[in-house]
Amino acid sequence: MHKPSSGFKGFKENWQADLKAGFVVSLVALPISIALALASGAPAIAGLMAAVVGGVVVAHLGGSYVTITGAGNGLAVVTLAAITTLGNGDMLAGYYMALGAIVVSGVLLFLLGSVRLGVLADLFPTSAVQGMLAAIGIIILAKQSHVMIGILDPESTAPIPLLLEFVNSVEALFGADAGTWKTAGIGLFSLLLLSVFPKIRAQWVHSVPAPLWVVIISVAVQMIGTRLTGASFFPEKYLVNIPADWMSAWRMPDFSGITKGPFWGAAVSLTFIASIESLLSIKGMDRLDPYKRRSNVNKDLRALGIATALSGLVGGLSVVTVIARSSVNVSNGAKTRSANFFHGILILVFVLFFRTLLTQIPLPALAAILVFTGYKLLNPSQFSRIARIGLEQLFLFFFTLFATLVYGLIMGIVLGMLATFVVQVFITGSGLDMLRYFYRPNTLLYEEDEQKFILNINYFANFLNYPRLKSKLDSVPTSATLIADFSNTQFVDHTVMEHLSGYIELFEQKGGSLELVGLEAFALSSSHPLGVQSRSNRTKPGIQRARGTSQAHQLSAKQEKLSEFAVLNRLKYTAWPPSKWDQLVEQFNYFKYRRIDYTTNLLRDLEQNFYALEVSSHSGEFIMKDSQHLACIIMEPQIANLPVFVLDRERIFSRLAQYAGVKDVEIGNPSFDAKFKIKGPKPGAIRAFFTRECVDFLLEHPDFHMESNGKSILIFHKERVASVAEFKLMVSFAREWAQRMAIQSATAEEK
Amino acid sequence: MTKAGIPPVTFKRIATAMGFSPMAKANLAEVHRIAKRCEAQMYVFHIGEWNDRCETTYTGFLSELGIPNSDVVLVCKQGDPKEELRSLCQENSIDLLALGALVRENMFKVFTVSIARDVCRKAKVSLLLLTHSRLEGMPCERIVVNGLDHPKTLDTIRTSLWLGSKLGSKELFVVDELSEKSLIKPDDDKSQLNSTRKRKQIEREQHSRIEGLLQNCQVPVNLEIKEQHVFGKRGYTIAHYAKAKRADLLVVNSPDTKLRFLDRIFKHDLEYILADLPSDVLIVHTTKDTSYA
Repeated sequence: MHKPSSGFKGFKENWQADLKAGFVVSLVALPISIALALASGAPAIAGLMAAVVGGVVVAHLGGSYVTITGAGNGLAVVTLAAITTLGNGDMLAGYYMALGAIVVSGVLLFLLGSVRLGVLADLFPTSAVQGMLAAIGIIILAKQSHVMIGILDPESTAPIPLLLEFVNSVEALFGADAGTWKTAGIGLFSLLLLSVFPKIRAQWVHSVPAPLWVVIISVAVQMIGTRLTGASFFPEKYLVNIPADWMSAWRMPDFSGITKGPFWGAAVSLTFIASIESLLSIKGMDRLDPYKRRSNVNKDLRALGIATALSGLVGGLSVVTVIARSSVNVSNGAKTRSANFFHGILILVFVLFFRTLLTQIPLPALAAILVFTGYKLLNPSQFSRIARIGLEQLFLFFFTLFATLVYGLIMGIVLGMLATFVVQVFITGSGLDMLRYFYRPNTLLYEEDEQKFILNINYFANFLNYPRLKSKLDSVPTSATLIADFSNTQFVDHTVMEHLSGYIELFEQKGGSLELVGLEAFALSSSHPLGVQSRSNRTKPGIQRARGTSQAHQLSAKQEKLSEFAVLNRLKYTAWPPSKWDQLVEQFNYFKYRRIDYTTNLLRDLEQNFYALEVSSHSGEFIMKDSQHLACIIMEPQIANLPVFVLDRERIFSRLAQYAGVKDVEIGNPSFDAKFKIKGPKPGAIRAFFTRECVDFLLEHPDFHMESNGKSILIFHKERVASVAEFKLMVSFAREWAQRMAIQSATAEEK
Repeated sequence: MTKAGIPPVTFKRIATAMGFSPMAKANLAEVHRIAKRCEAQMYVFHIGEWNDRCETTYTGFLSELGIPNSDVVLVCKQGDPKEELRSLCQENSIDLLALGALVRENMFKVFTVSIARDVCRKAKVSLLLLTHSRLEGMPCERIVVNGLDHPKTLDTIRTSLWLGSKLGSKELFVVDELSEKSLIKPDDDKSQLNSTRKRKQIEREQHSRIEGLLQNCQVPVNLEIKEQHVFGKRGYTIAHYAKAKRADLLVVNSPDTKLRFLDRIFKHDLEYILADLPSDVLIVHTTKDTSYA
């Protein structure tokens, strides 16, 4: 697919597509922006200004491609809190002071982007972030559900009492007058429409997005009702208020609180939530981008910072990247950043020329949109999904959710992080190690071959040290092969697994591959591929149990791929073979000084009599324990005269004392003899065994090592666990080698 | 500097400290083997009182291992282990002090490592920390040596080549640790391309530097030399690499600065290696001045 050009050239090529997408998005953004402004306790115009400034500024300076910027859900909660606390009850004074905080938070966002702290959003544990987002949903829902049924000022302010008060509001409704009933009716109808909208079959209905339907219908009701009755159908206080002189009413933001704590508290909260919401949205949109472009998050943060500061100056809310509007943008064919620009400009056009139309929108309809948004943020269907990943994740989710509801956003996420840490200490039983290695490096990345990277992870990988892992992952070109080896890792948490699965997708999109190896033993004790992967004390009995039975076990992603490969290639796959396989391995000299812990990933070829498997062994004990994981092939060729020998290029075998003094056997082919070292007690038999077919074949595949004990042959490639691709390579090598040996033995018999 | 410029660092006198830990016998065997291979005189230092029990155990060890008494010079002294070890090294002009690191308990490891720290900052002696001593002996096949851009590196590589030839090693990895700071941090596709280009360029430059270093060394015929450029934290990266590659010996430069208590908390360079000994470690004490000349 041809990627859209950047800059003005891209604008010239794609402006029609972007204009269309921008137009649809602006229609969606219009009601949502007004609604979010109202949820923030700010004038309606503030939300619209955020969208206008955001669209124009970020489209020029941003680093992402198809995102839409404007007022955000999470920010509504923080802004409302800022306006209430800063104004001490006076909403208008609070609004101007909050604008000051917004300008400062814009500067802070710009600084965050400048010092490349875009990585910050990855530092928070996934379940805690999900819990916080759900809490934001509840906070929005709690307030707006009252507005939706026509109660503009409920008594409570905290989210939980607000939710409880909803019952009173409904009771009050029964004794209310017709005016309130009308407004409640349009609110409830809007909510009903939003919730059944996805189920409506008729195609033409879906040509206009749901929030716009709500606005069109409610404005139509208001206008027709007004025409019929002569007076405003909905009472004035239930309508959006954009004064005609909104432009001349502009005032400088109030910076008088800048020396005080609450002002900075507000600015920091705004910055924090704005960066999290934006970064999550940008990451989400990178996956949806049809051209698979990678956004420059730090550049985008800087642009958002500038936009937020400008927006605050002209009386608008904070500008963040919003995922719902961005996805509408993509599904309507947006190609470049200009779509965001058009969306901003079109909103400005609406405000300038259709102001009176906008003032006809009834508030309960907008509140219904917010209630629906809040419900979507809470998303109860995700509870069971999180529970499948692990019950501890569900606990963390609800813990953060309630902590946020009770103590506010910042405190909520901090408590969520603490709880996550405590749970991980509990799971691993080694909190000391986690603290000790927290600031210590634990990753090694090196290029083993051209375009093939190995990433080795020590100790543990969790949300605390994920930034280090991320910087290594980012430095590998996505078109390369990357093998992430976890065989020396004790513990991998859900956050890291989730991020890694994102990287696997990214590498596949760009033509490279990322494979996680060494997670087999983890898979047994974890309930879900993305759940906590811990090599805790429970694992070992787990392996023993798994090996004793023939029932199905939880498989790691690699094991699933291997079993698939086995089915397609006439092989028999066993994830956890019984311990008799250990003995089969033990008889080779290579393992003479090593104790076999377990074998895994056994692939059997019954026709040609070879087995591919991975062996975990160790030498030394206790703190000197030196574990090794090796992928290898064992062949049992049905030939009578198999000599005892070792063959290798990297001289791995000569470390075995038994062969130390023995002289190399020369086969007679100069290039072969130069490349390989063969040792064995009977040179004659070895020379007879290595016929021309064998020698030619080995010259083509020089990377394998072999050891024969007279009955069977041990073959391996690299002294580590193998990726699925390497397994395939080994199996095809073994197949070919078996054929060559069959030819060899046939000719030997003829003689 | 010509090929014949300075002679390689050689070890003429090798000493070990005798404690009566469970690994003492294996360490004795290992050090004797190394001394034999290097054609060096072996010294055994004992700090503390030398009583009859020590005598019987010690002679028992020697006879069990088949080491003739004449091969070993035994020196006993009383006093503070760190102080005395240092002065003994100086008095006997020892080139290499081999210490059997640890085993059994973490405490012991801490003790050995603290001696190592002390010796390497004060004494003019190379230091070998043995982690895998074994009675029957493990051949030292694979050596990892640092290839830092540093004046001491040449001597370190020379030493590892010389020792490799003596111990019959087969593979030598020259690991060049590079700072990640010199790379462009990739943000998007374009900067990623630039970053890769920059990385390749740095690797080329470093390759020719190491090539130049090796030209000043005598490379044994049987030793295969490989080069690996790794970006990461200095000290930690080479230790992790040695572990991942299953090296038998890791050879590094001696530290430039004195390692103080704070360095143990905010670890860097050598401290990473000492904290998590990946294999036997040789810290080469060079005659070079630590200041950049």
